[in-house]
Amino acid sequence: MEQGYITDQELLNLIEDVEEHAMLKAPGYLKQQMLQEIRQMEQSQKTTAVKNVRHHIRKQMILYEIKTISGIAAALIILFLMPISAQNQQNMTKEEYYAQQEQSATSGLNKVTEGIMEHVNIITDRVWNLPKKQDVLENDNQKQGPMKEE
Amino acid sequence: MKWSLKVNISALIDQYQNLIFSICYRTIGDYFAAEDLTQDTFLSAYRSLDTFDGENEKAWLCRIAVNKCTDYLKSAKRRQEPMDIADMPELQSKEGLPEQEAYEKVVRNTLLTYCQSLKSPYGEVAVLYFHEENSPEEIAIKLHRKLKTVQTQIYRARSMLQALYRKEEPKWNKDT
Repeated sequence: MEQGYITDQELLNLIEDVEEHAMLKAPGYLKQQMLQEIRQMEQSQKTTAVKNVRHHIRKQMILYEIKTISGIAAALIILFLMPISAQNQQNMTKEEYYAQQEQSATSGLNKVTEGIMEHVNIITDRVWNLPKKQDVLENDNQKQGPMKEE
Repeated sequence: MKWSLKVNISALIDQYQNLIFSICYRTIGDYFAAEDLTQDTFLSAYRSLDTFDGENEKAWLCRIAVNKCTDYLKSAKRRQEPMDIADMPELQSKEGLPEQEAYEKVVRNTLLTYCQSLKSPYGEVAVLYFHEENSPEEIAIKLHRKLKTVQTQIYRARSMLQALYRKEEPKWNKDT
């Protein structure tokens, strides 16, 4: 046999030659073995297909859950950071209304950050055993004269 | 046509397994490798049924078989010329058998010789299973052994026979 695959004509010649001179009976158990292999192949294909479908559904569910939670979180944020007074809304102009929204949003944020900074200062003071802020201010006042209190 | 082939893979095997097995044996000269390649051929055909145009299934199957034999020979790093029937001395038939029958007899006798050369308990199991084509259940009853034992012995006997076929060159192929 030549290297590489045989040509179509050579194949036909081989088939003819084998059919005329060299036909053998295949072993009886061979067919059962082949059918068993095919059944196993089909079974594993079905299992893989089911797994893929389950994986896809699970992915879709997770995406849906993320979207739902994000929507709820956004609604809560808007609800608590930007309170609206119904009565005031009726008497306000557009400019006054937007100004009020901006003020309430920024004042809310300022309160949150001030609270955080106060706690951070308390912790750092304890760690480094620093004198309290009031004591420092009083000392400064004594050196520089009276200061405007904020 | 494609759907009918898929559904009738059993009929396809019935129709062409002898031809495919014969081509594989003719090409590589190894009985058990020919079995494996026949199985691979039909499994490949089953997987490729969607791409088959439905024309000349015999040539299509034979093409798959021959290509697999070529790949097998390349991977085994063997080059064997196909057996020339005229060169087989046993076929200068003393019994006056037709050439076809003589050829099959030679192949079967070679298989029997190899099976009988195995040591007990594998020899008797090999003869009953591979030469006489008894089922494992029948062998278990005949030899008064457990079915699992017989199945294990068949598996091991097959490995030994494969090694024998690979080790010994076919009697008629004196050139390699």
